[in-house]
Parts: sequence; structure tokens; C-alpha cells
Amino acid sequence: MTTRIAVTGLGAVTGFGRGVAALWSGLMEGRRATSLRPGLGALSHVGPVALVPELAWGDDPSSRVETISRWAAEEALADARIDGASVTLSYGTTKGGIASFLELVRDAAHPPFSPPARATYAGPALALATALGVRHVEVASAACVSSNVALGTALDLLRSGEATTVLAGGADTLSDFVISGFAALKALDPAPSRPFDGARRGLNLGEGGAFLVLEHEDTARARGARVRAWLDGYGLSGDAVHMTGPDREGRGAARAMRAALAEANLRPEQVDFISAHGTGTAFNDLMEDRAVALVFGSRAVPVHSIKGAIGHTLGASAALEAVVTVLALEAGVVPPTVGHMTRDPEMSLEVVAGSPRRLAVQHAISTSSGFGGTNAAIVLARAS
Amino acid sequence: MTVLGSALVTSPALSGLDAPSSRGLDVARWAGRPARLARMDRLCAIALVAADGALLHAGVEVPLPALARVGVVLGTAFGCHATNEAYDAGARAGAPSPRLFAYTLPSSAVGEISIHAELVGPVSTMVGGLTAGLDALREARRHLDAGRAERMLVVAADVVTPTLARLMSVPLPLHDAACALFLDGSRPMRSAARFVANAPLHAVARCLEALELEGVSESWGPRGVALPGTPHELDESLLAAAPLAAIRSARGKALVVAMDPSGLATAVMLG
Repeated sequence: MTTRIAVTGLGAVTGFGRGVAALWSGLMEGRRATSLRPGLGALSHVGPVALVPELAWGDDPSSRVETISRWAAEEALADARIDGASVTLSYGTTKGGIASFLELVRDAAHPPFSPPARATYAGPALALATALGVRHVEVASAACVSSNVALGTALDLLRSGEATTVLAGGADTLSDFVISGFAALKALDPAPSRPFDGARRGLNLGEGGAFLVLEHEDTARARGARVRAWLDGYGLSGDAVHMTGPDREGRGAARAMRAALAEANLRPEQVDFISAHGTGTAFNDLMEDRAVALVFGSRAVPVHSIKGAIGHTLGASAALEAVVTVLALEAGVVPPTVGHMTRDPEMSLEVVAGSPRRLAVQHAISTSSGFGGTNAAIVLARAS
Repeated sequence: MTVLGSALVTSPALSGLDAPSSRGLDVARWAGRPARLARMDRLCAIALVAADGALLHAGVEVPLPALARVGVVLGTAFGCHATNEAYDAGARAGAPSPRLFAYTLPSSAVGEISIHAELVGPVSTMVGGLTAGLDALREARRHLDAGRAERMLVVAADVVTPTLARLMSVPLPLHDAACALFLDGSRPMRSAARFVANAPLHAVARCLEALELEGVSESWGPRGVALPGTPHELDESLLAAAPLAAIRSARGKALVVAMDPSGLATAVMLG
């Protein structure tokens, strides 16, 4: 590795509200942003959800995801003290501009969007690019690993010299379409979710967005930017097993983690902390337990999930987890896994739960998995 | 990159996969597997048949050997919007289908392809508008260059619905189509770029600038795709035209540019 890729800016929007600080304090205090929402009407029975409090449920979902994206991106750019027009945008989303498309479907008299891209998965990314004046955009949709793919693409763009500074992350919002679908799959816990808990019953949904500003170490140093962490590795893999269920043995997620570690020139024993996908579903959490064992053996590496607090934010989740991992590296403390109370006897994971845990974290891995058997992992390192 | 194999599936009559209009494919190979295809949505089915055809064309039998370092990238403008429509209709009628919902992700197709061919390398989906096919080609190149894979399947696919035709508002016939390339990293593309600009012509100029080229001598095709020598040949599908141009360009040096009405442009230099 000739030059490292620095994280110089963070931005986040979640059910805790606008801002990285709101997210971090909510997690550190062990609070939940999820709650039952009678306002969802027929969908209220599906369980708690985490909606961005500054936005109204009745707002157009496409506008909501564009707003979330803009808020998170603007915070990250301000944190990095950099102008948006000078960056490349690498955007990950699960549902993108689907809400705009559904407007056309549901209303035959609705005039076509101009430009038509607003009704594609790239719609929110292009709206953000327009708002910021960004001239170079990459858009990926890889189910729930989407924003890890966006971060990995950013890493490649920087290493190859195609870009000098990248704003990378993603956003997704909730809608009746999304909520009814997860309910139909019986993936939702009607009660607050419990990642890695022996009594877990499913996930809670959330909405949000997060962006990280990434740049070459040399570029960051030259302009006097604060390096908050290093992004050192990226791995991506397919399970090749099942469309909606993970590889029960965790082999795909393990391949992604190993690939990310190899890119970072790290051995498993050098990893101090794992930010897990941790949805709270029976199969995902058990799969991750197996995957961690495949990569790290019997060593007890502290693991946490933030989805018990902010819900599963789909394509935004990996970027939000990357933001939290950077904060954990900086603070030397890992927030607890909200909702985790009882150990699953089938698992050997060392889950951080109950209260924050002080850890001298030098290297952390953040992993995610999604429908279609896609897995992505990134390696982040402490800046100092 | 070297193109090891390629395939194209089109279905102008929207008549189902029983008799796809195709080139470079062994259609009979799929004749006995209707159940396998029937469980999928149409995007997955045509993408899978194209991917399988490209592997077959390359002389690769599926499934691939366990743990082969091969991945797949899909490029799609509208992804599973046809399935989104179908799922939404059921959900609004009070009967949301879990099977259909599982296919309301544009990345579903790479899931099906990876299962079919047992591809366990990098798996991702690029969705940046009408340039997504070339974006997928660039994404595959990045994985090859980074050493994450030895070979990559690149698939571009889109399925048309009446709503999409209304959205596109173009005076052209839109067809379902999928095409696939099977690549290795032995001969890198010279360069590649993707930009947003205010208008397609500006976008092309930005691409040329990034590629450090002075200009392109050939005329531009009427559908936003330029292929030196055959600018008007791309009649199969608007949506899969760009990677199809890449297939044809793989025979020699060529600049392939895809443009989107939004002002997105992707350019790759093959040679």
C-alpha cells in the first residue's frame, strides 16, 4: 500500500435525528430510536420502526430520502471542511428512487419525471449530485450491503487515481412498499428487536443515511484536514446458496472479511472489534457467529450491532455502521448492542451489551450481508 | 481485459422465455428448466440466461469449481421495476407476495446468477441510469485490477413495462434485453470515466477530457450510444445497448460511450 485512504468527514441521519452527535449519544446511552407508530395505519402492527423525527411520514418518500441524503452529506462535508463540488460521489441504496416510480404506477395520469432518472434507483444520488454540484457519480444497489459497496468503490477510485476526494455512503427511507414486504417475509419482530439474543425474533426497520469523506493521506495532510480514521481494506463476496437466506455456515461473510483483511495486510488476531450486520433475525445472527468463528477462531473479539437502536436502515446501514466504527476507534469505547440481554447458547460471539465497553481499538472490521447472498466488509484503523 | 465469452438475449415480442430471440445462446439448454426460471422474475431470468450463455461461449461449464475467484456485476437502469409494479399491485390489494418482494431488489439477478454458476467472488450491481451497463464493466475492471477476482461476469439487463415506456418518453421501441460478457484481467481497458453534466454533449466532452482524447471521428448513434463504425446498428434494445457495443468493440480498439437523458455519461476505452 503506497498511500493510505483517510476518513476526514462524517455525517449521519437516523431515527435519533440529524447529526452524528445524536446518533452517538443515543447509542452510548443505550436508547432505542424505534417505536410503535400508530400513524402508519394498517402497517402499525408490524412492530417498532425508527423514522427520522424531523421528517413527516406523509411526506413523499422520494423527497424524504433526498433530504436525508443531503443532510448527511452536508454534515460530512462540513466536518471535512471541503466543498461538495470538488468531490466524487459514491452512493449506495437499496430502494433509491422507487417511490417516484411508484407514483407513476399508482397514478396513470402522473406526468413522466424529467429527467426520467429520478424514477430510477439512481434518483436520490443524482438529486444529491445536483444539489452539491458534484460532477462524478457512482451508484450501487447491492441490497443491505449497498453502502459498504459504495465505500469499497470509493477506495478503488482513490487508489486508482480516478478521484482525489470521495463522498461515500448511502441512504434509504421507509415506505408502505418496504414495510409490507418485510412483513410478508415474516422478518419483522413485533416487539423491539434483540440482535444476537437467545430470544431474538426478527428485525425492526429504520430509515437513515450516512456519508464519509475519503481522501488520500497526502491530500488530507496537504490541506491540514483532520484524519479521523483510515479505510484500509474492502472485501466482497457471494454466498451462492440462497436468494433470501444466508449461508448457514457463514462461509460467504467469512470470505468477505478475509478479503478485506488481506487488502489491509492484517492478520485476524490484529482485529480488536467487529461491527456486525446484527439484524436480529434467527438466521442472520447465527450465520455471523459462524462466520466470525471461521475467520477469528476461538478468540473472543468484541462484537456489537447498532440495529437494535436505530433499526435496519437497509442500504444506509453499512455506512452508518462505518460512521459508528470510526467514532469507536476515536473514543476507544464501543457502544452496547441495544436489545441484547440473554446469550444464545448456540453462539460463541463476545457481544458488547448492557453498557459501553472501553477498548483500545486499533483495527476494526465492519461487515454486512444482504439478500441474494451478497456480503461486504471493510477494515477501518485508528488514526493516531 | 479479454472478453472470453459473450451472449445476448432479447425478446422484442415480450413473449416469455420459451422462445427468446437470441444470439450466441443455446436456447435448447434452457428448454428443460422452466421451473427454475419460473420461480424468478423476468429480470433475473433473462440476466441468468445471458450470463449462462457467456460462460458457455467461453467454454466454461457451470457450476464453476468451488472457490474459483470469479464474480459478477450487473448493470441495470430500471432493475426490477416490473416486479416492483407487480408486487405493489398485490400489496395494495391486501395480498403482498413474499416471493415477489424478494425480487424487488435490482441485485436479485446477481444473486440468481451466483447461485446458478456458484460464483463466490465479488457480487454487486450498478444502477446509475442508462449508463449502468458500462458502469458494470468499469466496476468489474476495478475488481480485476484490485486482485479480488481472476475473472468477472458483466451482465446488463433491463425489463420494460408500459410505465417505463411512459417514463422514458422516447419515440423508439423499447425491448427487454440482457447481454453478458465474461472477462479476465489480462488486457486492461485504457481508461474509463463517468460524469454528470448538464447535457449529454457536455458529458461526452468531459469523458473525452478524462480519457485524454482529442475527439471522436465517428457520428453518434441516435440512441445515445456511440460505436465507431456501426453507429446505427444497435437496434436490439436501448437499455442494453451500451454493453452490447462493448461486446462488438472487443474485437478491436474502440471508445464506447453511453449517455443518459439526465446528463450522465460513461466512457470506456477498449483496446
